[in-house]
Amino acid sequence: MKNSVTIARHEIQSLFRERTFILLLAVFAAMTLASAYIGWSSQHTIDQVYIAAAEQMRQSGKVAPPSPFADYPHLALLKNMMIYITLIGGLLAISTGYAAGMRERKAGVVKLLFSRPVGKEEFLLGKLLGIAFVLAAVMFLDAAISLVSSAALVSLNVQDIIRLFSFYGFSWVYLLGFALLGFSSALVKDDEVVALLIPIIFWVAITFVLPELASALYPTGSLNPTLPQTDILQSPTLQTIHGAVYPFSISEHYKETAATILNINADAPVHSGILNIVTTFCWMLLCLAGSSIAVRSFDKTRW
Amino acid sequence: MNPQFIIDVRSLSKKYGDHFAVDSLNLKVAEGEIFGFLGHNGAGKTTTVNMLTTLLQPTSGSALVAGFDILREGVEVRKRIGYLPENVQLYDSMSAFENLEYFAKLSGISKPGERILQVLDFLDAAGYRDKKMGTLSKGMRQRIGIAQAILHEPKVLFLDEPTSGLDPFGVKQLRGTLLRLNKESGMTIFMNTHLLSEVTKMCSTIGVLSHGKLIHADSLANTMRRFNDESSLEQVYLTIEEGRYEK
Repeated sequence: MKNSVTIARHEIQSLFRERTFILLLAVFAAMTLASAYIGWSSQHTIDQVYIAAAEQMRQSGKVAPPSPFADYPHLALLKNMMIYITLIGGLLAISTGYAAGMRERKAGVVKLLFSRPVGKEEFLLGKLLGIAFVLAAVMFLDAAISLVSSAALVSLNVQDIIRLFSFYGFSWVYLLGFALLGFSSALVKDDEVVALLIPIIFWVAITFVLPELASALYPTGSLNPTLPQTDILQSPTLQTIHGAVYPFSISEHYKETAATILNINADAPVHSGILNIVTTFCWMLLCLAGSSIAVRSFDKTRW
Repeated sequence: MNPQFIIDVRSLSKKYGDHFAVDSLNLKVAEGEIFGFLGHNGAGKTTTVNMLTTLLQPTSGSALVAGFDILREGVEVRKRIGYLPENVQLYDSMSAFENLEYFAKLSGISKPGERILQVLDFLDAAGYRDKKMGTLSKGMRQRIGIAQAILHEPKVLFLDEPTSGLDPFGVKQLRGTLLRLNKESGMTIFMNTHLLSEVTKMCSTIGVLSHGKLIHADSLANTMRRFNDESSLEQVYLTIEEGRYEK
């Protein structure tokens, strides 16, 4: 355990010295900062349109109906974060895991490291702790940015704050899967480019391809956290595709759960909520099992 | 454990497919010796060191290093050995001190600061402690690599082609360092090398490996006596390698 903590500390220190990681982190933080404003701005525009329309109705002697947007949840202004997390967050996580898996190989210290009294299990645990801590720190930073920026634009209550931190906690679970995928690939593939390409292919499939198929070719399904406005599942073919692909569409499950946590998907049925959570956790655990296999099969004498 | 032999190899083999990289190797190295392990490229020297340092699982056979079985007591073995692979590399983005601190902690030294300074002083490298590894010369990296290998005061130091890529000055410095280490701390040194001139100047015992088989193992003095018609170790080595000598 002591060695695992040493490896984890070293991993954290090294990651925060990596230019690629810092660059992606800066972009991610900037997007987080922007997302609250973008969310507020679109909501503000809608409100202004309603106010102008209501004013026109009043001037023409009609009674304006109450604003349908008055009860819009406060955290709805963060809905774009779900997209940023699946897009930039996913890449940041892959980059984190890949760097962790490739570090000893690139430095040429694999033999040196394993000539010390360090077991493969300690190595795995150390790396996992390091990756998990770094991603947790990133999520905490994002949560803090979102909290400050949202609080500056709308009034948040305690429940909103709990929801906000829960959202980032759940996002951490989702992103950890990508980080572990990048880590495993870096350990088992000889070619560095292929090692990076494999998790990227998974990311593309999970973020774009599966949601397209799972939402039965709903064209903006991969980017839009809201459900399709029309019932496109009436077609038997599309329904079959949806039925077959949806359980594996991890990013859909993530987005739907995230939307529920942020209180912008209040109508979602409970059973689908449980499926979403279970699928996201299974994804992370599957990647964890993959990392364990990758470390066990890692050849200590090759690099 | 036989206290006289700090390395005791018994019928150790490593097979890749149909090819034996190391074939039924039997070898004993006494405590405090500097052992030169000679052999042509691909003879199986690095594979042997990889097995003795527990990095590689043997196909068959066993070995005791510092009294511990390499198969069943890998962690205990690794606590008692130092290892320097060919072409020393450490984390380039970290300073020499940070690298040494990391490896010292992994070797079980909880507060390694003082020990690192002591070792750097011993290796005449104290001035480089805050330099990033990526900025150091090959010779200096080698010294930091040795520092990493001896921080925890191992009983046996395994070196794989330690002179590879060093200039004559670096080779001389390395020789001086290893001789001092052996003399002052009684550390056993197991060295894979091609540089026969260095073997003559440093080693007390040699072993010659050819195509995975040990074809000669004796003290350097005995070897030179036995081949008294050969003028240099190079010729002795070639004689052994070419099979003109029967064990």
